[in-house]
Amino acid sequence: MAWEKGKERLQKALSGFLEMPKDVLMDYPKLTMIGNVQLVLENHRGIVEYSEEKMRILVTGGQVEIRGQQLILKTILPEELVVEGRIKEVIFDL
Amino acid sequence: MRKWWSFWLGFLRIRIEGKHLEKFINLSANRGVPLFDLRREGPDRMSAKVRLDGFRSLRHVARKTRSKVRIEERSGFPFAMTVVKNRRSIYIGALLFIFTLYILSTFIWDVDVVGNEKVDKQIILEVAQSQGLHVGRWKPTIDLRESERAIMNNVPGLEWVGVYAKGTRIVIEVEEKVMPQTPPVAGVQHIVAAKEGIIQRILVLVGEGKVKEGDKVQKGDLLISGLIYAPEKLDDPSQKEEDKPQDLAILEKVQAKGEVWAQVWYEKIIEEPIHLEGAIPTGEVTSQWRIKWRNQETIIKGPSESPYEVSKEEVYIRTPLLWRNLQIPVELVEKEFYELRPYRQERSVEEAIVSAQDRFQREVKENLTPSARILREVVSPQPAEPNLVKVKITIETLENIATSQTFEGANP
Repeated sequence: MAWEKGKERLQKALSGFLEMPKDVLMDYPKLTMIGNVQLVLENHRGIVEYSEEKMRILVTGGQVEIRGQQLILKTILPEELVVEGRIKEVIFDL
Repeated sequence: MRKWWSFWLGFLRIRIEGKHLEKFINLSANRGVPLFDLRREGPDRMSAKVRLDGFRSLRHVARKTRSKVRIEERSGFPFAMTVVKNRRSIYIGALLFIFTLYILSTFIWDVDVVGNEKVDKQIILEVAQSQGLHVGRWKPTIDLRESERAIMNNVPGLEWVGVYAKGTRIVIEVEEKVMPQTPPVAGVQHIVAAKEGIIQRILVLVGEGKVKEGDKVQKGDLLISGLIYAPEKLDDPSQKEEDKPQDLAILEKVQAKGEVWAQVWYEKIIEEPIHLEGAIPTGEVTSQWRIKWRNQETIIKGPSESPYEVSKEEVYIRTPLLWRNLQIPVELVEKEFYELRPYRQERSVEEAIVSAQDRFQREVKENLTPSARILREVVSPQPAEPNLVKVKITIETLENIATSQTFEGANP
């Protein structure tokens, strides 16, 4: 555990020092939103729950919850997914 | 781009029923099977689109998650092909069409001759015909180089022949022999005056000079004769001293050659208005397009009449070509209206005279032989009506007035 924490701290320091984006070095999810109609999420780990109103997506270190109406999963690829619909909330549970 | 690609690969719309749909999505994504347009349709039902090449591995996923997969709709090129497979005659017909087109394209459909001006096209085509260059011949049996040689040998007046196939067209490109123009008449000739003038210098190369310097000649007068008569006084000692080959009393006919330089006058009385009036285009153009079919004309674009007060019209007729030389009986007529603006140029009397002089000089220079030069120019004003100038312009030039004239029909 102590080793894990040390590694994480080192990674954070390194990414700050090298000015590397955090999603590349630390596997953080990268979310891109176009208005409230489209959301592109990179670096996902899988889907936990999926319905028209609520979607929970597993990411490194926790979950991302998307609430809205008429949500559809436009595309799902091993690393990336695209959600479309009327998005109301994006909740981070990290 | 992705849509286009998935059309060729083909895709399926499927309906998945099961308890663990999230697991189904995760598993298929991990296996690298992309799902598109996932839509939840109920607590344990959803629909999705999947590419045809990924569908096979979905079965495995479905078995693992204990869900049922049903195909709702098939679309894309592979499914269109299965329709073709079922209707064999369509398939055969399409193949036959392509095959026929290919076979027909190996025949000659047109023979064309390019570049002939003096040589008759028909003569070239006849020779080509005998060499097998005719409509309906199978292309692989034609030896282009051989027919080039044959046309070259059998048609006179050709410098070069190139035969090449352009698809189903055979183009025979010829280059005609250009004969030198300079040897005018091979026979005997006189030198006569081309213009009226006073002889300044005469240089006889061949023949007998008939005029002296200072003589006034009219147009058509004999200057150097090609007929050489025997000397009249044979007993004259001075004549005997000269080494003449035609000592005999018969005459000889030669091709007279020489230069005759003469002073030539050009005179003209010119009336010129002092103030110039006219109309020049302003640069404004409006075009009108009409379609003409038989006798009916319909304006499709532009105004019906000229939008300008003063204007000039120009009409272009364009006949659209349907294909090669198939014409459709419809003409496209474009009419262009150019706006004109009246103008008035105020000039002084001197300016008017200078402009008249320029105009006359240009007129004269067009008729001069290349080596001629202008010696003198005299302008004398004449009485004229108001607003007009009247001048008499005389231009004096020195030019070679010699031109040849055959006399084959002359007495022996």
